[in-house]
Amino acid sequence: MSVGRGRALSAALSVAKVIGRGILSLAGAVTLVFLSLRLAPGDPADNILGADAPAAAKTAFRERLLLDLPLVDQYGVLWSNLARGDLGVSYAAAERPIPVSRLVAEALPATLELALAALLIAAFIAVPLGTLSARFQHGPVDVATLAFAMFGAAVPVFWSGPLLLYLFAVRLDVSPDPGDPLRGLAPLVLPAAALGIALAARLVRTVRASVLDVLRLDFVTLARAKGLPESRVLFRHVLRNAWIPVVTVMGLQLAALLSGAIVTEKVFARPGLGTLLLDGIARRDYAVVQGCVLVGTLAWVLVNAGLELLYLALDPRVRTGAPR
Amino acid sequence: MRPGTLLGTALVVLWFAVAAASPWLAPYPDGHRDLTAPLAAPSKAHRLGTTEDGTDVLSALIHGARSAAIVGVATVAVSVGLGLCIGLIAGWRGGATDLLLMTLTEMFLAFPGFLLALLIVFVSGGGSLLSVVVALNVTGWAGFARLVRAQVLSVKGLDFIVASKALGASTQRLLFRHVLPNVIGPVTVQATFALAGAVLAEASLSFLGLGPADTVSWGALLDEGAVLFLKTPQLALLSGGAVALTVLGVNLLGDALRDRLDPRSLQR
Repeated sequence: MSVGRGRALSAALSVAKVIGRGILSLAGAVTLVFLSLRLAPGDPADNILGADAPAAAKTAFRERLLLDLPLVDQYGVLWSNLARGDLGVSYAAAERPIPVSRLVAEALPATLELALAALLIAAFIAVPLGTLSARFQHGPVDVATLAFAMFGAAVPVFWSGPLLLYLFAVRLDVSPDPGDPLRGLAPLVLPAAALGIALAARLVRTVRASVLDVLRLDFVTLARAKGLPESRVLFRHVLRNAWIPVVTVMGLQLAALLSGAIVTEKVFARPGLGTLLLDGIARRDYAVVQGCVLVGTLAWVLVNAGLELLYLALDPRVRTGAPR
Repeated sequence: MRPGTLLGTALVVLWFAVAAASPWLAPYPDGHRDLTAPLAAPSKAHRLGTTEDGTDVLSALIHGARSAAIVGVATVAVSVGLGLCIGLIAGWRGGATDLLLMTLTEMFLAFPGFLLALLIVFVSGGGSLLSVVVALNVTGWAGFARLVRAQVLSVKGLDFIVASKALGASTQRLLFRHVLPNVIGPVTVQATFALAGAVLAEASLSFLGLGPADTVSWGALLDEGAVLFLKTPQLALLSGGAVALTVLGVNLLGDALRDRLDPRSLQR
């Protein structure tokens, strides 16, 4: 076999592995969600609706979730419903039942908007700060950055959030007036900042470590020996090679982003998937809770698989399985 | 000792000391409510004031330290135990056992643990200390299993293990005398960070109303404090500060342990 074909084969194998792992994760997630209700100690209807709920409500609950059928059949129905994009029906929200898929579709854009804005803010803080901190290791910027990373990772969004709200909305009253064209952005800025700063604190250490690793390599010495200006060395040569671990950590932070978004939505009373989930919990609306958890998990598995495919496409060492 | 290590150790010691001494330290017992004085300002009877239902804030903060310590330590202990067993078996046995166990581990790692924890507390009928610990452990063990397996694989083929095997050492002796000591360092470091994570996760669950309902929790105090921020800012400030300082202390300690146990990290 030629070298080219061997490479193509190994690349195809890597892609297949990523996709296979994604499918497996998804199947596992659905199974875990399914089992968690059925295996929790006690009667699911009692647990969800409360032991003192009316008997008719409990019977309706069991019927809707087919709890009287054998486990295997319930599991099969869940899968066939999911395959049709059917996440069940919310009965608690109104007189008329509403499909959960519609509720989720309405809530998801607001959460995505928050998550993306927070990720952007985090990257804009962490990448320059981490790079400078590595370049001037042990200098004042480095010490300040490490302190920020330490404190930022410890401060929960549900603490910094109310503080930001108090500072900016109450004390300084910077909330824009109704005629302001930027008013549309205002409800996004504070929540995204609260979440983004927390994320930046986790990210900045990885940027720093990864830039430090690259700074020690020979080609950086060569670039400097060629007489290139330091800014060019840093931003053209170093950052370009330092970003893979950074993107990996960004991917890992998606879990923090997801749970952070739920908390942030509550702090700032923002609509979104988290608010829908918490409403569902407060109303003991199982279908809504299950739908939100499944969609959140689906998004997370998809993004992770997407990131892995991205490395395959971009890093020749990952692609060919060469030693790193 | 570096200042960070000192600060971390001091904060963690303080946290555990307050948690252990909470029944004697707190002016009022857990669950005590002064119904005549809801939302009282700081006074001699209630040094930091009271909450909306008349709970003494200082006592609640002290009892909160105990809840956080119980959830944190229990979660990490179970996660480490499960992770050690699964990782040791997978790494040592290899082959199909390894493939099966690691596929399972990867599956749990691929699940956003916090969402699953929310779901589990919800379906088990609201929060108690036990349900929170169980919920956080459902995915918590997986990271440890992967770490332990990797460590086992890295020492399994080394000369001293092969030599003691050739000398006729039993599997039990090999695992406990030779493999485990080489695994325990990285596991300790990760356990420290997991402790910080568990404290934060418990506070987040409580903040969302899914924490232990049978006892006080910092997260639940923060939830109330955030709503009443303009009336009694000290409630949110102090309970959030308690969470932040605890997590900061544990993380600082974790960093110090990592530098001590993993010399490679010192280069950074």
